[in-house]
Parts: sequence; C-alpha cells; structure tokens
Amino acid sequence: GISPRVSLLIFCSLSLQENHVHDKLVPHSLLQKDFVPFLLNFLREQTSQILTNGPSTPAKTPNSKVLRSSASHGSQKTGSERRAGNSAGSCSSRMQLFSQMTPASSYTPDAMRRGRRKGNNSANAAGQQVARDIGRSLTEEEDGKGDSASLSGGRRKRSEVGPTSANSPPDQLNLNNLEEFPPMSAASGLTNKPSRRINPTPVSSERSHSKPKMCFTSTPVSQSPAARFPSGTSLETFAAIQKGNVTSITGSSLQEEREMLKKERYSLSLDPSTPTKPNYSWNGSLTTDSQVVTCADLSKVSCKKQLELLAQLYSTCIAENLVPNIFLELFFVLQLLTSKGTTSSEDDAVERQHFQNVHNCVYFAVQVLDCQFEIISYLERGTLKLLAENERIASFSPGLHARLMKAYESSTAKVSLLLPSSVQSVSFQPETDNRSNFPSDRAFHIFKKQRDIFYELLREWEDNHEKPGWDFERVLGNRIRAMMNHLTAACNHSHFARLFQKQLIQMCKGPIGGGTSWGDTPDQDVLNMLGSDNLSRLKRLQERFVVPQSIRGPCPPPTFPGCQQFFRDFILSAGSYQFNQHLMDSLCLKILELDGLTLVEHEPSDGEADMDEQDEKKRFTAALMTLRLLAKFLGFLVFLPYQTVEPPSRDLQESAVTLRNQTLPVLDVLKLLRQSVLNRRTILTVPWIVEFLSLVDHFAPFLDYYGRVFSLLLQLYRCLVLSEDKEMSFLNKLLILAVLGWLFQLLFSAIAESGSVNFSMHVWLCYPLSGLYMWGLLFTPDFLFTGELRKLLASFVAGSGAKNGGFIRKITPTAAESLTAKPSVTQQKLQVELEQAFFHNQPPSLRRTVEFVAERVGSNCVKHIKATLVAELVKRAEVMLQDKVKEEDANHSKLLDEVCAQLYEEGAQALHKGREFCRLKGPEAVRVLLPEETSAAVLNSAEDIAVGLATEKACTWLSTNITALIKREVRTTFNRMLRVQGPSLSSEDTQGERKGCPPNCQHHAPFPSQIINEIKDVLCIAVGPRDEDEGVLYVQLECLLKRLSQTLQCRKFMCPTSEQQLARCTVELASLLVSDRVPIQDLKPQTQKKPERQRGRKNAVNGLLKSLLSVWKEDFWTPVPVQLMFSRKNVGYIAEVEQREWDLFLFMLHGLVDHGLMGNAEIESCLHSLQELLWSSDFLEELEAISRIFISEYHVAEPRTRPCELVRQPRGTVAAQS
Amino acid sequence: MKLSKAQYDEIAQFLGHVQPTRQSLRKLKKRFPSQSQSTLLSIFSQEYQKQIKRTHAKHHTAEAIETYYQRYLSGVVKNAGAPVLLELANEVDFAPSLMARIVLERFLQEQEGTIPSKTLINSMLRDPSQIPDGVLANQVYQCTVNDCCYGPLVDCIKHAIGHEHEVLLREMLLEKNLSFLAEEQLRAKGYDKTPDFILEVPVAVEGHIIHWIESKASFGDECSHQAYLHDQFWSYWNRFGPGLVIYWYGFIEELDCHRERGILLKDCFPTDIVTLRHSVAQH
Repeated sequence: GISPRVSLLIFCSLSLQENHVHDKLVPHSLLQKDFVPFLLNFLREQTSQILTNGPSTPAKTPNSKVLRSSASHGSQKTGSERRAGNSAGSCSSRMQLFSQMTPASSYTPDAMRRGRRKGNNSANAAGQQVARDIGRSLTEEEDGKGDSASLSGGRRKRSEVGPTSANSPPDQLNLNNLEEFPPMSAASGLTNKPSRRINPTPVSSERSHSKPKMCFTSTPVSQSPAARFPSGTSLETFAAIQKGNVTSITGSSLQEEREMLKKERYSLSLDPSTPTKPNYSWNGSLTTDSQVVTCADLSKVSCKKQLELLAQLYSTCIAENLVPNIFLELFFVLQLLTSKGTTSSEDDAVERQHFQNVHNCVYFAVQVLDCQFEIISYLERGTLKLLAENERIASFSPGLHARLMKAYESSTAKVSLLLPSSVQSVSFQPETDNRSNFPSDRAFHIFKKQRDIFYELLREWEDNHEKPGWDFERVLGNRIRAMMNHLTAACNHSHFARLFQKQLIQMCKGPIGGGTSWGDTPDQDVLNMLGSDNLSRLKRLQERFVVPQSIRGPCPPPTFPGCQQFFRDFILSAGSYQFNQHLMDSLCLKILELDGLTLVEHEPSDGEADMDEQDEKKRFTAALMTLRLLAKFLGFLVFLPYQTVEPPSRDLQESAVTLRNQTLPVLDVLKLLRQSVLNRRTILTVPWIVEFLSLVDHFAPFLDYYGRVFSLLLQLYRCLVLSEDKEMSFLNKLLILAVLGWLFQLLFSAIAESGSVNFSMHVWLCYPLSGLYMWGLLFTPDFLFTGELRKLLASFVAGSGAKNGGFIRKITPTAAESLTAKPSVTQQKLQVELEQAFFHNQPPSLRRTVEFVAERVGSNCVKHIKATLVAELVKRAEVMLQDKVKEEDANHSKLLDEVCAQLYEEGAQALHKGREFCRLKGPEAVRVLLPEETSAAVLNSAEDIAVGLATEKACTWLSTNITALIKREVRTTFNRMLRVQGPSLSSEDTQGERKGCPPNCQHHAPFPSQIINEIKDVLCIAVGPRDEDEGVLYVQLECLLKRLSQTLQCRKFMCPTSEQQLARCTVELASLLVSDRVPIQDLKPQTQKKPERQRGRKNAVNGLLKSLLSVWKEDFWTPVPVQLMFSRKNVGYIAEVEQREWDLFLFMLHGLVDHGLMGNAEIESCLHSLQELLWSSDFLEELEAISRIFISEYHVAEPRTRPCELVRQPRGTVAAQS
Repeated sequence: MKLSKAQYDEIAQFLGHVQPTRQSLRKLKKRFPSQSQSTLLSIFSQEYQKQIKRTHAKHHTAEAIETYYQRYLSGVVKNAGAPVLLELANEVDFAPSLMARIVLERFLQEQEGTIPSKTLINSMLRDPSQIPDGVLANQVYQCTVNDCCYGPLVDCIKHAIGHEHEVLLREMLLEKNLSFLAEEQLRAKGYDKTPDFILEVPVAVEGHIIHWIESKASFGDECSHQAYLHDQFWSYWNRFGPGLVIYWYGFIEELDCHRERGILLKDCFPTDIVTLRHSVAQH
C-alpha cells in the first residue's frame, strides 16, 4: 500500500509546489481532486477505533461521547463491549470507503435516503442537502453556467491562463471547488460515532441503534439550522429557540449536555485515584472510567515509514489549505496525541494497521505537529505550556519538545480574561436625544418613556432569564409589542434603533458576548489552566481540545451567547417590520463606519511596541469585535424572513432563488469584500463578513450574489497559504483562515445551532495581536488565477503601485465651493497629493493628531458660533420681538419670520468668525499635542492642514445650517418669552436690586421650612380647636419673629414658594393677633390687676405687630399680601369676638401706612369695600366708626400718638351698646 | 437614619389609624423618642397618605359628598364657630384638607351652578380669603392649618424642605470640590429626565461608582422608594449610569439592595468618597 501513496504524495506535492499545470495532467485532475477527501477520510477511518476506545476523545462527537460515558454507560460498560459495538459500524462504513470516494456520488439522493435514520434524519438530510446544493450550485457555476464575472470562472479561463501563470497555485486540484472541501461535520457518516468519514456516507441500518448523532458542534443534529429562528413569528418555535442558546427540538438539549459535562468535569477534577506512577501520570487523570490506559512508547511504533509519509502528506494538505478547516485538523491531531485507547490487538483489519495502537497514533500526531510547528507556536501561552509539558511529545520527539518549550517561554500570547463588567446604560446625549431631535413634544415624551421601559425589560431579563421556567416571550413579549406600537405611533423607531444598537454594543462587545455575570462564564478552561502545576494538566489540555471553549467544539454554529440573547429575543418578540428596518439601517451605517477605520501599518520592530502601536492594536481589536457583533445581528435580521423550520424542498428552492435573485442585498458585502482585498484590509473585513454569512438561510447560498461572495471567500482561503512572508503576517492569515474555515464548515454542515465563538477564533482573537499589524495583503500578479481576482489586480495596479498602496484617507477634502476660491482641478489634486505625501513619511500619530484636532476644532467652532454670534443675535431678536409683541397680538409666526429675516444677513458673519476661530485654535492644539522635537516646518504644515480641515468642516456646516440654527434658537426664546410673559416679569423687577445674603452671613439662620412649620403650629392653636390650657408663650412668639427675620435675611435656603408662604402665614398671624385670637401665655406676672393686664397685653401684642411690620418691610423680597388683613375672613375674626378689640386693628392700619406697606387711599378703599359686605349691624357701625377715625386722622395729619386716644372713645361706646 | 424593616413596621403599626393632627404627632414622638422628629413626621405623613389612598374612593362617591355637605351645613347652622368640618373629617377618618376640598367644591357647585375649575379650588384652598362665604372660609382654613399631612401649607413645607436639602447638598458638593451640573442646567440642555445633580467627573462612594446624586428630604419607605425607582432613579440610571440617592430622613435598610447594579442609598452625605486622581498631571 505504500507506493501508491508515495506517488500520490509526489503527484500532489509536485502540483502543489511547482504550481505547474501541464495539459498532460488534466486527465489526472479527477484523481487529484479526489485525493484530499480520500486522505482525510482514510485518517478518520483508520483512527476511529483508537479514538472511539478513548474515554472522551471521539474525533467527531466529543461531547456526546463524554456524556455517554458518564451518563448512560458510565464505568459499567467495558471497553471491549464498546469496541464490539463500534467495530461493526466501522466495518460497514469501511466497506464503503472507496466506493464513496467521489463526493458527487456520495451526494446522490439514494445515498441520502440511506443516510437517514430514525430520530434525526431530517436534520441530517438538511445538512446533506445544503452541503450538496452548495456544492452543486458552485459546480454549475464552474461549468460555465454561473455569472461570467464570478470568481470560479471555470476551467475555460484557467486553460487560457494556465500555461502563462507559472506560479499559479494548484488549481488543477480544482480546489476552488467547494466540493473538494469535504463537508465534515455535516455528513451523517462523519457525525456518526463509528464512522470517521468526512464525506457524507450512506450509513447502513446496522447503526440505527446508535445514540443520537452528535456533530462537532456538540449539539444534537436533530435540529435544523432554521430552528434558530422561528418561521415568521411562530411562537412555538420561538419558545424552543430562546430556551438558551442551544435547544434541540427532538433530541437532548445542550443545556443538559452542559450540565452533564460539568458533572463529568467535576468528577474528573476530584478524581482521587490519580495514579502516582510516572507511567500513568498523564493518562491517569484522563481516565473517567478507571480504564487502564496504554502508555505511549516510541519503541512500540510499527510502520514508522508509512506513518511518516502519511504525516507529510497530511501536513502538506494542511499547509496548502487543502483541508476545509485547518483547525479542525489540528483538533484531530491533538485528539490522536491524547488518545488513550488500548489497542484492539484482535482487530486485524488491514487498513487499520497504521493506527492500530496508541503508539502509532501518537507517533503520527507528533510527526504532524512537528510539521505544523509554526502554527502551533502561535497558540496562546497556556495551551503552549500544556503542549510543552506533554510527556508524549517529550518522549517521541525531544526536538519538538525543546522547540515547544522555547516557544512557550518566549510566548506573550495570552487569552485575555475580561473582568465581568456591569451593565451600563447608554448615556443621554443632548445633541441626539433632546427635544430638538424629535418632531413633536409627544414623540419626545413617548421616547422618554420607551427608554425607561427598555431598560426595565433589560433588568427584568437580567434578573430572571436564568431562572427555570422563565420564558422571554411569555413574560416580556406583550410589553415589547406594546412598546413597538407606541414607537410606530410616534415614528420613533430610528431613535429606538439607535438606542438598541448602542446598548447592544455596550453590553456585548466583549469577546464572549458580554459580561460574565450575564450568562456564559468566561472560559473556565482558561481559568483552570492558569494555575496548572498539577497532574491534571494533560487532562486539561485534552479537555481544551476535546471540549474547547465550553464544549462548543472547534466548529460551533453561530449563537447569541450571554446578553446577545436578550437582543435577539427582543427582535423576535417585537416582530416589528419598522423596527427591524431601522435597526438594519443603523447596523449597516455603523458597520460601514467601523469598516472604514483607518488602519495604520507598523513595521514589525524588535523592541517593545510603542504607545501608538499599542493604541492602534486596541482600536483595531475593539473595531473588529464590534464589527463581528453587529454583522452577526445584521445577518440575523437580513436572513430572518427567509428562515424556515424545515429544510425547504428543491422545487421551492428554485422558485425562491429565482425570486430573490431579483432583489438587492441590504449591505453590499461583495463590494466591501472586494474593496478590502484591494485595499489590503481583509484582516478587518473578512471576520465580520463571515459572521454575517454565518446566519444565512437555506436559500441564500444559492443566490447569484451570495454565490459570488462565497466564491471570493473561497479563493481568498486558498490563497492564504500559511508561511511567514513580508506581505502579510502569519497571524493575520491564521485569523482569516480560522474564520473562513469555520464558515465553510458551517455551510457544509448546515447543521448549526450554537456557539458563535469559535474555538480557534477565540484563541486568535484573544491573542494580543502582536503580529496583527501588518494589515491587509499584497498581491503579486501570480497570486491571481481567476478572472475575478485578476480584475481586482488590474484595478489595484492602476490605482497604486506603491508598497503602501493601502493608504487610506479618512478625511478627504470636500472643499465647499461657496466658501473658498476654487483652485484649478489639477492644483487641487496636487495639493491633495502633497498633503498625502506629507503624512506619508511622518509617524502615523501625526496624521491622527491632525485629523483629531481638525475634527474637534471644527466642532468647537460651531459651538463657539452658537454661544457667541448666534446668542447675540437671539438676544437682539428678543428685544425686537418684545416690542412688537406688545404692539400687536397678531400673527406670531409671521413676526418671527420677519425678525429672523433681519438677522440672517448678520448670520453670514458666522463663516468669517468661524474661520478666525479655527485659525486661532487649530495651531494651538496641534502644537500642544505634537511631540516637542517636531521640526518647525512639519509643525507648520500640520497646523495648516489641521486649520484647513477644521475650517472646512465648520464652514460647510455653518453655511448650510446657520439660518436654520438662528431661526430655531429665536423660536425657542420667543416661545419661552411668550410663556413667561406676565406675572413673573413684574416680580423680577421688584427683586431686581436685591442680591443674596447680607455680608458675612454665616447661613446659620433657621430653615424656611422650620419657620413655616412653627408659624403653622401657632396658627393651629389660634384657629383651634385647642385644649383648655393650650397656648403660645409670648417669648416664644417674640423669638419666632426674630428668627423669621433672620431666615428671611439669609437667602441661601430660601425659595420663592417658601417666601410666599411665609408672607401669607405672617399676614394670617397678624390678623389673628389683631383680633386677639392668639392665646398668648406668660405675658406678665399674674398678680397684676385686670386693666393693667389688659394694657400690658395690648402693648405686648403691639410689640409683636411692630416686629411683623418691620419684617414685612425690611426682610421680605416678595410682596407681602397685607391686603388680606382686610379680607372678609380676617376681619371676621374681629367680628366674632365678643369684646372687640379695635385698638390693635387701628394700630395695624397706622403701622401699614407708616411702613409704606399700604397707602392711605388703599386702606380707605379696603375699609370701604369691607363695609359693603354683609355684617351684623352693630359690627358695621363699629367698622364705619373706625373708618371715619382713620380717614380723619390722616386727613388732619395728626401726630401718631393721637389715634389711640381717640379710638378709646368709640370703643367704649361700642362696648356699652352691645 | 437607617431603620430596619422591623423597626419601621413597629412605627407603621403604631400609626395604624391615627388622625393627622399635631396631637397624634405628639404621641408618636413620645412613643419613639429615639427617632428624629423629621423622620417620624415623614413616616407619619407617608403612612397616612397610604391610608388615605386606600379610602379615597369611598369619600368621593356622590352619596358621601352629599352627606358631608349636608352635615357641614347643619353643623354651621348650629354653631358657625365650632370646628364643624375638622370634626367631620376626623369622624369619618379623612384628611381635613381633603374634606375641606370636597365641601368647598360642592359649595361652589351649588353657588355657581357649574363644576368649579381645579385652579380655582386650589387657589381658594391656598388663600381661603377668596372664598365668598365667610363661615366656609374659616372652616376651610381651620382644616388646612390643622392638617399635618395634606393641604397647601404642608405641601409648601415639603417643598421648602426639599429645596433646602438640595441647597445643603450643593454646598457639600462644592465643599468637596466635586463639580456638577444642577437640574436647571440640565433642563436647559434639553435632558428629558434630570436628577438633582450630575457629577461632571464620577466618584466612587463606598466603592461604588456614581454619576449622579438625588436628594430626597423624606423617609425612604418601600412604597415611596418603589415609586421613585420606577419614575426617577432607574430613569436616571438609564441615562447617566449608576448614582446615589440620599434620603435625608432615613430609609428602610433592606431597600438598599441595588448597590451592585448602580443605585446607592445613603441617609447623609457620604464620607467615603474616592475621586479620580489625575496622576499624570501630578507628575
């Protein structure tokens, strides 16, 4: 059996290495085409036995295996039992191994039918169908039926190009044909435990007893990809979907698996029987069922030569990207490395001879690892450590061991452990969120509520979604839809979509889809590994590869982990066309913005990456993560309407594809992809496009448009052969290969339920990007071997020949024509070129600084104009309006227009002033921000460019918006003016002169609230009802008034309402004092006689009234409603008393006049109107008398002492009469 | 001052069915001498309001209104100087100010023949001198003055207290050199929901980052806190991130359960404040 393989190897490596096409070889192309799938299948087949016997290292069904061994079989089932069961299956598949070699034949409907099995056949069929159909559609294209512009323009073109492109990659192998990337996890034969086949293989009925198949994705295959989405708004499906990321409809749920796996891991970690014998040290910890594990021994390896050849062959396939997913292969190799199966010595199957025992498997694995050392060496540190400490490697290849050790020691790649960040809200920004951004008050108000409802829902979800029985749709569905209705009614969708998107980014931009408190724990594997100095290291290493990244497997389908789940479920529950559309708009915009990020190339340097470089990396990483997140959601939304639960039939497909071929894509990813290739920005663009495409529906891959996208991606994949070259860093390539491999695997399998964070993606993305600064990729003409890429090359060559051709200008001068005298086009062009040239040889930070300054100064300039010129104009408008509003109550809007029109001319000054501002501020800022050693010339140029750009930005905005701005501001002021007009204007006038507390005020006065409260208490007692002995102490009152004065003097804590209330209360108090209704206690010693007591009492009250009058006059800022003293109610207090006290009343009248609180005439008129009210006749008489006295006194203008004397008389009379 | 739920329940239970008079307040102070007067008054007021909310509808049926009005009329006919309305309110367990409102409304309706506007009623309650009937004016005034939970006077006191504590808080912020934007400034900028103060530079209080501070011159009981959370605090959080609420008259300890999520409760200005250090500038 060796010689054919050797020749194949030669054949293959010839074609691979020489990239040479001979017409003579064309007939062999079929053979070549079949070779890779054959090899991969062969390896899977050969190793199935040994891996199956392992405890938890199935090649294709990691999790199911783990589960099975722990859950169903446990330790009871012996290895031989299992072997027996499995070998039957593998035998049957083995028999078909060669007959099924050609992918085409394995895809026959007949094979599919046979491939179906109970329980999960539909999903398998779906997987097969999609895989088949993808393959078919691309084949058709290749056959020339497809768009002529498509990448895989077919063999016709190749034959034209062939001989001339001596360096062309081995397209003879037809590797751009998807069919040659065998769908691995999709195939039922593959996912089936006993069979390790790569191609979909018809499976005999013998295996129908086997457990539900598990694919690499670790999720039950029984769920079709469509089940990720409900069909339309079907709530049943919804319920099934949103029950966690991975719910199977018919099979066991991933959740269960997780639980079991957790238990399993737990038991592993607690395994007390870890053997101490060195021979067992690494294997023992792996043992889950006390199975004795063979110790790998180099001396026991058989057929070394063959294994070496196989390893070389296999490595070549990996190295040349002939396998659909290199990480899957690495995964496989590591499985072999860590396999622990005792060999089935009784199994003498000829074909299995090479991998009949652990020793051989390990030997092979170490050989492959040795060849793939370059990739391995880029693994993150923790993994490297485990590999470096692997005893099998150490004993089988001391050389590889040493290199791994070295790589580990020099490695800086760490998986970043993000700390759980608490959920943060999107901050309110007046520029986008205040009233002026809404069409009406109502819309503004409604959105205010919606923002709060949204967060309420979010909090509720956060609190409850992990509780058993909690159901998103049931609990939140109706509330979300009610909210959508409100949004629709108020046309607020765009605002909400923005909020939604911002919150999404804020919460989910981390690598694992959000803070750890929100679901997924951040990579327990990594956490475990960090403290790894115990015997379970190998177990961990194994686990890491067997169940990488929380058992998602190396090729998990996209999911919405962590808080992404909330956003997905929200979209589903909302079921709002408007919302989805706005959200898609918003996502597209943000994606385009981020995709346009300026990428700065850094020369790889030996030393520490400088600050700029690090910032650049951070910026890049952040953009990349966000892009992937947004693209995933965009993909979700775009393909959502086409998702179906059941895989649609072929008939349906044809009509659907015909139909959908007519529509334009929401986001032109093909264009963006081409541009990114051209501009050497694939490192940023490909990962997010992959995320977007990972959510395609059943039909999308068959659409012309997406077919082209996939073809281009495939070309890219094939071109990125991993080797260190100067044009594109190894890690960049690795990243792209990882994501593409993942996507291809996904598409082929089309059995996808969960896990957006790819094992390899995760590792690469968390890599600190030390190599990721060689952005993009540079072509050589030889690189291009199909029409599509050649076209790209043509434009590339025409566009820029420079090595740094990917220079991206973020700010392009779009000089507003109205603003500047326009230089000739050529001159302009020259200037642009000069400017670009200027930056070219400067450090990238200079460019960023200039752009930044321009951006900020431009923006500040507009703000400055608003605050100065516009504010001034508005003030002037206010004056003009105030006059005119008084004249005529006429048409307000007309008035407004007139006034504004007068201002517009002056508004034109804005441009002039703006330019001045930029000229002043720009250079300042640039000078401060640039390093001091910057030469004067560079500085000047930088300043000039910054000023130019800032001016341009500001003036462009101002010239188009100044009039609207003036009008808006004037209108706002005018509306405020109309509202305010009236009472408050006059009160402002009266308070105008007063300012704050007296000098040296310590602000120790009692609080107004305290004084109001105390006065209220006094009023209470005075008004009653009160207890017999209840009263107010005189000193207490005296003190209260003194404190009132203090309180009023200190203005610190005073507010208008407090002061007005104090004024009103004190007038009430005065009225009650005047009518002698306040039960004042403790006036004078009790012994005094009655008349003296009376007089003393009156003097005391007079004293209090005097204090009040003085406070009213001196301390109040607001007008005191002293007129209330003459109200029906307050004068009534006097009337109700049997022995009426007019002295105090008269005293008050004089006091009011003397303190200037009321005029004579005013009092007279008050008294007069009092007399018109309904009183008892005797009271009316008294009132008239008092009135007369007051009037006569003031008309005579007698000295102040007299009134009291005079008053005594009438009072006496009154008393006598009553 | 923080109260445990149990302590609070004891007070609330004592308040059971008291009338909102100064006499009741006096008893309350006697029973719980260790609690501050303001805290007790605040709790009293809140508890009473809960009670009134429960029975509000009962007092506003057409029959009830008519009964009250007739009883008022016959009462003042007997003795216009007697506290007819106040006693009626106490008798039927209703707030005097609200009773005054009912009767005043009914009175005006009869006088004018139409249902009087809310503004007019409010204005008359604020200034009973405007009430055309002298006797009713006195009765109404007596009610509003004696009511320590409802009425224009109480409202004004509450408003004043709130304002004073805002000023106090502002002083403390200034003293600590924490720059902030006050409510007026925020409104002027067009913010739709505005806490009392937004810190321009966030600080950490007891290890929790805060962006805003809201001053509440009342006691934080379950009912009012829930309402505030829903109408204000979460809204602030939704816009400005985590923040601090100061219940100057204390709160139920158990309510301070959203610290991790970003709503911090205190009963005084915090002392444990960590500010952002501008280490770069200091070098």
